[in-house]
Amino acid sequence: MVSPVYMRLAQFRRFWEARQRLLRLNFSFLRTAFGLRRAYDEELLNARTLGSLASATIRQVVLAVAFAGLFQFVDPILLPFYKYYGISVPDDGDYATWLATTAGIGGVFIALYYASVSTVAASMYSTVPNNVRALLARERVGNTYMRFLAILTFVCVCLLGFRLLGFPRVTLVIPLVVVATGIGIIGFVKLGQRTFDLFDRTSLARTLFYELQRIVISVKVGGQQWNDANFQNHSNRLAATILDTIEAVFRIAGAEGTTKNDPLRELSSMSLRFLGEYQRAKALIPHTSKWYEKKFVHPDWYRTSDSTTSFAHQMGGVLQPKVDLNRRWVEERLLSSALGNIEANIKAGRFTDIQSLLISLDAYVKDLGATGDISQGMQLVDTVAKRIFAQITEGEPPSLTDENVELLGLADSLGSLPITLMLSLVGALPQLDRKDVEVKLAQIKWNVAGDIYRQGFALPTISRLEYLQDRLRFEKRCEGTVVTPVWYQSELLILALTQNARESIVTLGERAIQVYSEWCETLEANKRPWLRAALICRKEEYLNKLYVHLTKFETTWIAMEQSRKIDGLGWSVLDFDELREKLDAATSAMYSEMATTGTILSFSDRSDAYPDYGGKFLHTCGEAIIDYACVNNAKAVSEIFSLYFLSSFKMFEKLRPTATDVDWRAQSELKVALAPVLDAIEVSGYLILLSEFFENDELWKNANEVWSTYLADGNSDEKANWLNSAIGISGAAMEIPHRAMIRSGWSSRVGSVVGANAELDSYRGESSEENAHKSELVRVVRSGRTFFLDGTAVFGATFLQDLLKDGVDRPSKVENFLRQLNKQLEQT
Amino acid sequence: MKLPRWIRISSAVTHFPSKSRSFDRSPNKHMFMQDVHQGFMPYMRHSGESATFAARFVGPSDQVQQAGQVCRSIVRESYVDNDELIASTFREIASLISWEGEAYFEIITDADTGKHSLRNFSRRRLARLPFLYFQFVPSKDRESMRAPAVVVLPRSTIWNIGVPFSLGGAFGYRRTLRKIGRYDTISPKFWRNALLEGNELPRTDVSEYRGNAIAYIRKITRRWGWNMRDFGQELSTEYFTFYRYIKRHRAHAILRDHIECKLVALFGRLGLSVSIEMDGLPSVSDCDTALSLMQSGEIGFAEVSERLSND
Repeated sequence: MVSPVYMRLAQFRRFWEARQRLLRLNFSFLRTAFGLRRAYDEELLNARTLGSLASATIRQVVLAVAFAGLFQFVDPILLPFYKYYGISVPDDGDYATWLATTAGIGGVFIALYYASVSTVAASMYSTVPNNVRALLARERVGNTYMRFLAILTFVCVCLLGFRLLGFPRVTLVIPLVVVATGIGIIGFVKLGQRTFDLFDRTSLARTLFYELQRIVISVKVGGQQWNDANFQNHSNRLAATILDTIEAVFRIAGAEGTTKNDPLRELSSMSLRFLGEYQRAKALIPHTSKWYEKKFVHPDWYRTSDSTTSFAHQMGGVLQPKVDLNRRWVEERLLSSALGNIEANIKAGRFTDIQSLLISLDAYVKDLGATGDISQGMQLVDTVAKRIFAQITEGEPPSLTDENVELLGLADSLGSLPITLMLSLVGALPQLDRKDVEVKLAQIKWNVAGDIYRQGFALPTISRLEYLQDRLRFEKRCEGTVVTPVWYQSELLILALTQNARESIVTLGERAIQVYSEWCETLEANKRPWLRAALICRKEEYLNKLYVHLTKFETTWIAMEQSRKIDGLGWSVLDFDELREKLDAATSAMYSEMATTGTILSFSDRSDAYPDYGGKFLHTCGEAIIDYACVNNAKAVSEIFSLYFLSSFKMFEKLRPTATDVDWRAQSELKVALAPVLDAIEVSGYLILLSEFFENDELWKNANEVWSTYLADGNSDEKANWLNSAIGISGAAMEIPHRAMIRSGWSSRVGSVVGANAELDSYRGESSEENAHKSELVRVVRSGRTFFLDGTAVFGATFLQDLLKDGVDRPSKVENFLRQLNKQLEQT
Repeated sequence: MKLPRWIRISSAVTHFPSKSRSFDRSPNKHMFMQDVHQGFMPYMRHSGESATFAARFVGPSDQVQQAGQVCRSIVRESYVDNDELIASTFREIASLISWEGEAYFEIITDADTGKHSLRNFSRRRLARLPFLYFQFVPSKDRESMRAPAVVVLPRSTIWNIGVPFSLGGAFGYRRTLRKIGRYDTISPKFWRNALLEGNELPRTDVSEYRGNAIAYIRKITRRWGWNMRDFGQELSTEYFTFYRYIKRHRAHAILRDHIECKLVALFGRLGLSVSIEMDGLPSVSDCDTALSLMQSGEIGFAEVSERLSND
């Protein structure tokens, strides 16, 4: 509620002056509390570091104590022996000597440590920027150890001082100092080994990321003074300094010209890991936090309010710039460093490093998708891929057999990134549930600072929640209670969610496909068919998954649409049918790409190190032709068929056995080799049948031309006989031909379209109206007298029949089909 | 009995020029007073016929004529159309109420014809006793207003009407007006002055001040549902704007009912058995229904606007 006292007091200058003093006082108090808290955290961490140092040396300490205990045990037994040999037992004075020695050891170690660190600094850190050198001074383990050693040394000196002043010996300190000295001595060995790590100038970067994480925690809701603009500003400045240092470390690591750059890889990986965590944390950072980098935006004169422009005009100045916040400032700086060495790595052949970077990028992209930042994720993926491809395709392309397998892996990994993005969005779909939103909204205490961030709302809704919070608090001040109901609040949040969902779905349905195409075009233009094939495979996976998940997106979208209560809120519109049409067009284009690339690859001998993209593409194209033919899409069929035909015969040539023997093994190999040709014959048979069924000559026209061209080239009789024999081989008795399962699937799909065996199934007469079709061929298939629909038989009995001379034996299935066809013709 | 020169019975002094207030500099107060009666009744002459509004006197025709005359004396215009006459009467009374929270009229009865008319006079310098009102005329105005020092007004010749209690009553209304006028909603006065004079300023959070000042004014005018003529969403949600919009219409409906009730009672006092009937204006229950339906999300803002429209 607004206090009348406030309104009364606010009229006086003294009130604002007193308030300013109070704010300053409060800030000083908070700053002190902040400093104390930081110091406490620091000390706690140091204590933990010391603990870990102690635990790392504990075995040696225990061993040393055990030895000491053994000596203590053995010492009294050896007393007569000492006496016999005249060895004197140490007196009280030795105590002081022993303490002095311990202190001396401490002093020596301290000196030695700093000597070694100075050596490292002089040799490795003399040429680095100051901020990187400062990392050495802030090295935590060494500093903690030095502090411990310094305290131990000084304790010994103090004890000596007390003894000299006449104080009695403190027996208790003897075991304690012994143990502490043990840790000091053995810890020094460990630390000595660690000093070698300091020669790697990037080894201290981990501390920087740790610092950055601590700062992010402090600006998140619940962090100390997270809501205070002064502290947010302070955090921003601290983080900017750390980012400067990280950039410097990256530059140093990038300059290392080794063949394997582990520090750089580790740094990039740490950066992307940090960014993933930061992305999730952003939903807990106020949108208006001064943690985000400020940038000044100058407003348009004619878009500014009258009072402001009048004031500026009277004062004779320009309009004051507005402060805008760059909410991606950390990402921009870290990504530019983490991805800055891509080109250098590729040039140096450090493909493993790039692969490692892509694995980290995959995790980061997943976080981006899960938090609803799909378009940013896609932009990042596209940028990285284009840089990699641009570098890869520099210079002369390798021959078909010389493609680098590691590059294939890179192309495959890049192709999988959009899939990761899409799947992460699927995982985030439950956030779009209105009931869930309403339950969370009902739990918010609007007057409690930070409560809006603690309910687990998605990142895109944060600014809308802040908008609501300001207005609902205003309502409470005006009316004494929140007036706007939960359904209206949820409406505003759902609006933000749907706007984001629309952008995400459009990015996945349009931009991602465009990105794949652009990548493929780049690789095609630079003659890299293997890399292109790897991408096409991923594109196919992407499209298949998108088809499946589009239904889920649509269901969620419709549910949100139906639950709307206010129509005039500027709801986003999304046409899923249009999106599906675009996906269909993209799929069709992808089959063409597959056919082209598969044909190119079929001209080379594939090493076992490469995946058989050619075989996969050939198979997929066969399936695609059947699918398109079944829906009477002649254009799509004609785009693929000629290349499919060529690849089939190329594949046969590759698989054909080289042995001249005619034993059963060679025959078996030959049957396997003939499979692609038989596939092409089967597909062609179905094209003939479906073109008659749909009464669409275009469906078979292109395939007919391809076959005719093939047969016209050389001895056509011989080729026809060869094809006839190939069909015969596939139908040998008591044998299931190779790829029979796939072809029976085709038969079943085509059969269901043309109504094969309809008569047989329903015992209807041949003159049944349902079976009546202009084409004899279709009627034969429908009659069921050929039992199984077989595309090779259709091909043999129609196209090939005219090319074979009389007297040539035809395979039984062809003969049977021909008989039925003639019978049908006679009846006609 | 002859009365001394400094006293007179009846014929109230309408206003006191010497006590007239200078122009009120508070724009919020000015806007609020205007909004109490603006949009309160439909305008018919200037903006064309209202599609739905209709008003009439109900009673014997001669008495209806007399009631019309009484209303004409209030609006000081010669309307023929009853719709327009009633709307203007209500508007005029509301306008007079908006200044001081209540309005006073002297009932003047023509001795020859027995017809009644009303004349508005200022409530300032008026002492109210159970049966008599005393009006004390400032010395400066006596000559110009041709009035003695004291005017005695029998209560039977006075008709007064104020803001209904459900809207805070006359006293509450005047207090609201005082509060609205007390503070500037843009910045504290010292800050503006210091800025103009170029003096050093303490760190003043003007936007916080502005938000608090607006919330303060909206809080004290919440019974009236006053939006300060702001339909933007800089400080409130669209829903809250419409919530206040309904509240404003509800306040108008209460005020209308109150004026109607008081007018009918006046007619009764004047011996006229006349009542007033009005159609096409949202009633209190219409507003409550609209609010309840909007709260449950059954109707949208467009329909709320349509349901409560006066046109």
